[in-house]
Amino acid sequence: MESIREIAASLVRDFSTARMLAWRLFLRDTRAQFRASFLGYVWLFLPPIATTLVWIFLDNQQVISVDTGSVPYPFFVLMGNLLWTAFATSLTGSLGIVGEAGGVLSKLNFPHEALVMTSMLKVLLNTAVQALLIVPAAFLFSASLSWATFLVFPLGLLSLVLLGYAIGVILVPAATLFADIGRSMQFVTRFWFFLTPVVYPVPETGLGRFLAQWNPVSPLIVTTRGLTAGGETPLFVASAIIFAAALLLLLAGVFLFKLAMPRLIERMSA
Amino acid sequence: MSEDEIVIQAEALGKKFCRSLKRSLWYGFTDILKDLSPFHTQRGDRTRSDTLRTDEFWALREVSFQLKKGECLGVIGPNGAGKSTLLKVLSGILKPDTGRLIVRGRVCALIELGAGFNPILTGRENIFNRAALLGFTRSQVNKKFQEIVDFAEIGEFIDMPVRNYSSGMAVRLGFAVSSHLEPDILILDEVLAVGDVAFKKKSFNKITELIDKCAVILVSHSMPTIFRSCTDAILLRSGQQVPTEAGVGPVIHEHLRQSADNLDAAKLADYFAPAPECVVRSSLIEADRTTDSAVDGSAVSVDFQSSISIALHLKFNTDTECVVHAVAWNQELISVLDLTSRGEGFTIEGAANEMKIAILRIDALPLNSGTYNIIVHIHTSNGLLQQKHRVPQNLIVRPFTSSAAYCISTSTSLETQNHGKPGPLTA
Repeated sequence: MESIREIAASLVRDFSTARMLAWRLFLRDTRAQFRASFLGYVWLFLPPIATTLVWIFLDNQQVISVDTGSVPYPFFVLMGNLLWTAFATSLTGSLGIVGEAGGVLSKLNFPHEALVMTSMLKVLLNTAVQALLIVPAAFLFSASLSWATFLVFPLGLLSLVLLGYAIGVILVPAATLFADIGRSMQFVTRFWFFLTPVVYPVPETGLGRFLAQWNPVSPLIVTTRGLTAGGETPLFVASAIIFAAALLLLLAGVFLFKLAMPRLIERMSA
Repeated sequence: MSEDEIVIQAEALGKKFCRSLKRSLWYGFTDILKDLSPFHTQRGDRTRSDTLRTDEFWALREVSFQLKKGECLGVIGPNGAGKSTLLKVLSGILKPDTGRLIVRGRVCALIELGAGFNPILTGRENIFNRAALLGFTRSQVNKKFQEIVDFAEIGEFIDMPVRNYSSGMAVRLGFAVSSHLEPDILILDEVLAVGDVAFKKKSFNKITELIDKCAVILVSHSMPTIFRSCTDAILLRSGQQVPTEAGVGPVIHEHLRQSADNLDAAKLADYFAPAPECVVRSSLIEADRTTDSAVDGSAVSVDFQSSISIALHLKFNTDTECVVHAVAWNQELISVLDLTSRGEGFTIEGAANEMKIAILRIDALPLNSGTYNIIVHIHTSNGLLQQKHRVPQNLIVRPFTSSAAYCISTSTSLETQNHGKPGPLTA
């Protein structure tokens, strides 16, 4: 289709402007976010720490009993949470990019892919800061980290961010027009959390195993955690397939985004 | 000028919007699907539509014009005529539903004061933000940074969060950024109106400086601004371009004429001091017998340079002197002519409970065509305002020249001198 060629041409042509603008918007929003907050960057760490503490408490009190083999449960949960949060924030964060920029979109003309890039930079910042928690946590919970950790863990986080983003960007046009999608995504992700082996290892049998296997997020979490902390079998093939699919989906999403933007702006503008 | 210098070419531009929100969102969704489908695409252009679906209306219809560097186009019209929509289509924010638009060069638009600013960050930081949104890199901005800050004249407040700026300060900053980054096309919506007089002068000087190297499109409700700055103008009404004679003056005249159709020349409520010493009971405008005039209940129509008289029926409540001062106001609420040649008004003496008739005679009225209100002020001799009285009839001067000037001098003459050889002008 001709329009695909046109879109590709405009993406290439505007790339350096979009990149420069994305960086500037990222700096702008991040500075503003923390300038107005007293605790500032501390807020980046709090959510995963808080959730992890809850699960540790439940395990400690024998309310829930989970066997995670050689890996200490708190560490297992913390890693799972960090990986899951990378996916979930990426997914929910990408849905709102057009809605939030409504004001400037209807007043100034600029390469819109910059919004996609800015949002990704924000997610990466969040994720990178949280990933730093791994090292002190390993000491705290007496877990052993393999040498591959420092290579594998960031890669794993990145792949989850990519997957979340790919799904989010494809949905952006629909989510911008229909608020239902953004709203329902909030409890879809909550539900999805429990169907993914984040706070429990992959079940041996039954529906749980089936869901865990077909859930695209599972192989990425299981592989990363397995290679880093041990205790689980990494699923290399599945992870590679999902990573590749996510890349393609993201590319398709960016094209759809560019195509849909003029329509979204005229429906939103004030 | 060659064809190459045309920076904007607009042909039959059209844009439609939908009144109902839910339907609008649904149309947005179906439009995206149509854009995706190979069956609907025409030569790679986005799907065009010449028809209106349910609840849709044309915000712009068949608007065409051309603009070259060195030209300044004024866009005028009543509120809701589609001026901002046209500017958004020209800046590429909205895509037209019909017609063709060719834009050559970089566009800087100032459509709203704070677009692109993050309110928490300072003015200084926001200069880079706005410039980046306009497509300028940090290094390009750094070269002009000091010039921009100096032009904006916000002083120490440049380091204060933008959310604390007044609208005047915000427009200074926005305009400083947009105008210093050397655009090829500068688009200004009616935002400059919030600036003070000093800023208005500064911004118009800047536009004059820029005009050589770029094309300017200006939307304004101030006709003097349009007449002064623009080389051409278009009038929009309900999304359509109203055909007029060429030139800024005729377009302005047509706009004012059409505005007068809808409403009476602006009324002023009569004001009375608590215990006035002298008041106007009634008043009447009459044209000279030799003048070709038409009178209906609410207006007197005359030609340019007619002679008229205004009769004021005054009632004195005490023994006193009062000062009468009359001014003619036009449809833009500008006081265009002081009808009292004495400058400070005519003094009239009266006795308690006396009625007097004061007749103001004006020979050869120098007002240009339009509809006018006469407002009479009555003061006591030591300057206390007793009454503001609006003469109930409007004064209509029939079309004369296409100049947008309010008054025309009737005592100017032109003389030419023959020159033997080229040389300095002799007295």
